[in-house]
Amino acid sequence: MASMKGMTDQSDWGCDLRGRDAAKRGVTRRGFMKGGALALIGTSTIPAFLSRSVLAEVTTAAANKKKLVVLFQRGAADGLNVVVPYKEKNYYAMRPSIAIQEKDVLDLNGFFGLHPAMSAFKPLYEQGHLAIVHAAGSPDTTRSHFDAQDYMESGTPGVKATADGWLNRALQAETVTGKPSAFRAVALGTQVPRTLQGRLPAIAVNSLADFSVAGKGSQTSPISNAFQAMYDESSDAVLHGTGQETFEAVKMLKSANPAQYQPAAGVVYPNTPFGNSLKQVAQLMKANLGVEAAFSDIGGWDTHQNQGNVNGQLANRLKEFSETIAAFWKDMGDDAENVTLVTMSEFGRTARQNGTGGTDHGHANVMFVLGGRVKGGKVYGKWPGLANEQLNEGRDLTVTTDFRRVLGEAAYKTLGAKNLELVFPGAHVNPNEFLNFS
Amino acid sequence: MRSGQSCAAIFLGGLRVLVSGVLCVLMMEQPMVAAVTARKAVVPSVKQIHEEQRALHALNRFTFGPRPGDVAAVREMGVKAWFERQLNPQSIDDSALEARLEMFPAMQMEQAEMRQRYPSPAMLRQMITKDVPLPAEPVEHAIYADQIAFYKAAKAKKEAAQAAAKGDGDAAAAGDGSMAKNDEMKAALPGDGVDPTTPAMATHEEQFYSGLDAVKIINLPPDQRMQRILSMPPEEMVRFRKSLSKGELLAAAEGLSPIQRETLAALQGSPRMIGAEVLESRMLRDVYSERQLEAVMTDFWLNHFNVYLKKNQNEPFLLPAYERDTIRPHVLGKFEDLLAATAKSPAMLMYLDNWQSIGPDSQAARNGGKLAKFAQNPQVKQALKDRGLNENYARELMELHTLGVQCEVSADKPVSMLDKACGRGYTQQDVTQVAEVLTGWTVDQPYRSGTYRFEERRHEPGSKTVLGKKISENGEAEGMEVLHLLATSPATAQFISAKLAVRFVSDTPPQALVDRMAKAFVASGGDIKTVLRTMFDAPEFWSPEVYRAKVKTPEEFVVSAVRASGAEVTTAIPLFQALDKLGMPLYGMQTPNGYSWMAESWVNSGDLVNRLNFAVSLSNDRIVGVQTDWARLLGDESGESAAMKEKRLETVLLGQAVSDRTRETVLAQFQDQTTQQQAEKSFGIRANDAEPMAQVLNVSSPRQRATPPLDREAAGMAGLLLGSPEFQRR
Repeated sequence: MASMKGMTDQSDWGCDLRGRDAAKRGVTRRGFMKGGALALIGTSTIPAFLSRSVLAEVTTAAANKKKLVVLFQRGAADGLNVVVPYKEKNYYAMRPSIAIQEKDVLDLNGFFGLHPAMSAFKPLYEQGHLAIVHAAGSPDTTRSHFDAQDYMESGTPGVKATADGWLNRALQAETVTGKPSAFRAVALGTQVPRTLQGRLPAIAVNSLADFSVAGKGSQTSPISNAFQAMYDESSDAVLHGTGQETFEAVKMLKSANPAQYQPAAGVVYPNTPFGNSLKQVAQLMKANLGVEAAFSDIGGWDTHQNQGNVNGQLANRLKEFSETIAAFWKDMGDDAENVTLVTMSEFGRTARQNGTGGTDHGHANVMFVLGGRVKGGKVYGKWPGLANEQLNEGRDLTVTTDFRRVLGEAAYKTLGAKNLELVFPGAHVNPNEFLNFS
Repeated sequence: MRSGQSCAAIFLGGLRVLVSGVLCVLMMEQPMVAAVTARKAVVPSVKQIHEEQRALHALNRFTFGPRPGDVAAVREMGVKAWFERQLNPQSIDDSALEARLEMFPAMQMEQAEMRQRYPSPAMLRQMITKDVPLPAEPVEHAIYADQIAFYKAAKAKKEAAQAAAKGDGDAAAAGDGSMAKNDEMKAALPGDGVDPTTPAMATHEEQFYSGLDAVKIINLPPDQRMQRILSMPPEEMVRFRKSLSKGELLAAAEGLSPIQRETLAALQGSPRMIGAEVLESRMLRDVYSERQLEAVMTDFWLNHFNVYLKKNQNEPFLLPAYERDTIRPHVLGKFEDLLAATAKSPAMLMYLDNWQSIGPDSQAARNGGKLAKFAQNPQVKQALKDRGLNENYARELMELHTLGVQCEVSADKPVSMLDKACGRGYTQQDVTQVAEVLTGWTVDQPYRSGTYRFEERRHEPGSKTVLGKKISENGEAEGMEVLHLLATSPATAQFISAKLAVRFVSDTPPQALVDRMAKAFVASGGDIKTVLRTMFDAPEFWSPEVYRAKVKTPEEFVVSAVRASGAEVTTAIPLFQALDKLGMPLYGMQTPNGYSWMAESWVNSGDLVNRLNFAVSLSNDRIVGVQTDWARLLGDESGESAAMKEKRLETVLLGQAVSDRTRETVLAQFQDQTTQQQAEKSFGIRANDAEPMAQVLNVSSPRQRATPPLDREAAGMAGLLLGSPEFQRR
């Protein structure tokens, strides 16, 4: 039966539980651990999926143990109230009831301050792990959420025909010499986002605990195996491919059992879908499943009405957002060194508040970059100013940093995606023009 | 890749000419469809599917999937006659469904009546603050008193906790965040911040009430029991409710009339009860309505004019009328009527914020400025001063409801780059102008009756210009003029036709078909029936390339599986919960674009795992409240071989044969072990090793576990077939 093939060991080398076989293969790569756990498992019983995760090591990022986490704030977060330019006079004139007062901001550098609900970010900034890029955004000026998200996720502003997402192409741009892990690209949620769609398979997982067919035992159930055989041999190209990825991932999860990696001592994730997503990203990474790129998103930023100031809707969202990311950072422990996390939102919001205590669709926004090798503690990017004549179309913060320069640098330095023309076609993202936040 | 590529046809002056000499091979099995990412239009073909496939195709596209016997019935009637009948839903008797829906009296009430009987948390909060007397009618009195008592108890508890942990004054982050928390909220009301789609679960946290007393009450005959519960003083009611286990709660509802049961549920919090009834009745309608095209179109338009259950605590109360009065009467009528109905619906006005939008130079804005002088609270003062425009609805009205985003003009996309149908397109200026036109379109008494009202005082004076047309000052009529302008634009005809074609024909519908539909749209004054008829009569609709080529959305999958299995649904709660898990909760799309009808959104590993688990759970009666009867469905054919049984299941569930590969896989599980015991060994799911989907479902299912299916072999085979690649397409 086809399903049996997957269980037969075809490897002829030993490897440790994490699949690192450097010593035996005589390959020298930076970052390889000495395989202490090697003795725990005999060669003849190593399932094929483990040998696949061995092969996963041969992509650039996996070899360097680097991981990129991409977070999307859907709905257009109000960047001007996230990282507040509290020295801008016009900021207060334009936002009489929703502005964050100077006394309330968490000061960053004497000009910008964090929204007070984001106190979880303050230490990360001070420790130099968290960098901020302000006035970043898309060169395309659409005010449609859906087009703007689409452009940002495809990485090709203004071009609708692009079929795949920038992060999928970033992984394609890596050097790969074998079959990578089924978990190389993983999205937390019920769908594979545009960002990760494309030629390389990407897994969508909403709940690791439920990612199992007909029974949660440590072995796949007979029903699961029957389905696997059915999809393996299906002539339906789309479902056949998805089926293959799915059953491989199910098997890997059963073996690695990521549930055993509970959050580190003292780490508490907010009990929200977003909090649970990042908690599970950490579990997948700790279980060494070969994750190189992980994606998650958080909605609820479209604050047209009654967005609040120090407290309120936006404050609640920011608290959840920052506490989740800070928990993830702490949870990853020493391995946080290898992680780069980047956040984005499709556009910012109007500099002026609207007639219902909220803000409408604007332009530039703020991006966060968090990572072990990030040169944080700094606000990057050119500040365009908030005087009336400095505003985009007379109403929004002007974009001074193309979001692709930020993502390009993250992809280049974290994933080793050197061919940025492939990742962001036509954008001419040049390493010479990186902001050098890492 | 076989499909479509070998056949090509072009249209010349309305004449379809087959260019290629190569005829499409009629595909007898699952068409292989090019990777979903390849966005290439299906090449139209004059080749048509087999006559006997037409009934199944029509059922797959115009219903939520065939039930056993449907294909034969449609063949009997004739596909065209059946379709015409579906286009006139009033001609179809739907009394069986209506009888089922009698379980939900609140869904039949007028909105004002329903909201009077089942108060929203906001309304109760107002009543507490203003010390409004409770209603005199005894049942209503009990509902109000109980919820207020619960609120006060929760408030006292919260204050005690705050006093204990002083210093940590930081407000906790909103649970789901989507349930907007008002700043003035001090304690939770029943249903506050609770996902209304999750049924209540009694906790044993506080055992104030003697278990024995509670059991005594539960053991009373239904009417006396209800009487006794309603006559409890509020404090006792709170204690009683808290003392009940889940099982006891179910027992307490046993034997009650629909209105009594609903009332009992409302004591747990109105928004949750209303939310659950909205979802359950929509689910039951999808499964059981004989007016399937109406149900499918209701679903289509609810998605097009998307609103979100959890926008705030008020939204659940607006949804019964939104579905019943705003959407359904127009789903096969004139688009403009539907558009105007949604524009005036409290659900949409609230969802996209227009109800609060105020003309910057209106009387209300000026009064606000004056009132601000007297306001004590500086925030209220500022808010009064700043009242004005909100352009959320105005933008989505053009981008998502009518013209489509392809008509948006921006610095990067000048008019010259737009589709011809867009004309001059719409700009940010148009968005602001439309928002001004629609000022004053608001909701009267939002927390009570919550009906539409035009409020002149809020309306922006002066003339406006929309899409290059001058709109003279004319109050509410300005809005109607703009809606007419938008509804009759050729861009809207294109946009709606393309979306319908994606839902009914193909992820990549031929442009020629869309053009013909759009033409019919314009010619008929936006008559939806005419547009659907044009589609039905088009050869592209019946071409082999599109046959069984649409991947089912989770909703289509779940409903079609239930329909195909002929299962009896006594509660639909587990079914809409399954949709939550599959990423497509009903009324659960937060953003106004609605769900995608394209395969790429729904074909992924997580979704597939959940579909397979659902299939197995359904066929093995692991979804509590949803009961199959394979033995009855297949008839008593004792002694027949596994292969025979499998073959008949294929016909019942899929309406046609599956691929040899799928059949072999199914049979491989059974051919050597035809006895019940062996089937059970392989496919029986032990209680302690339940599949994840069933585990989740069982937690909150209101009924006791169902008995295992009589025919386990059939159940096992059916589970595999419902999870097969073939069943994922329609």
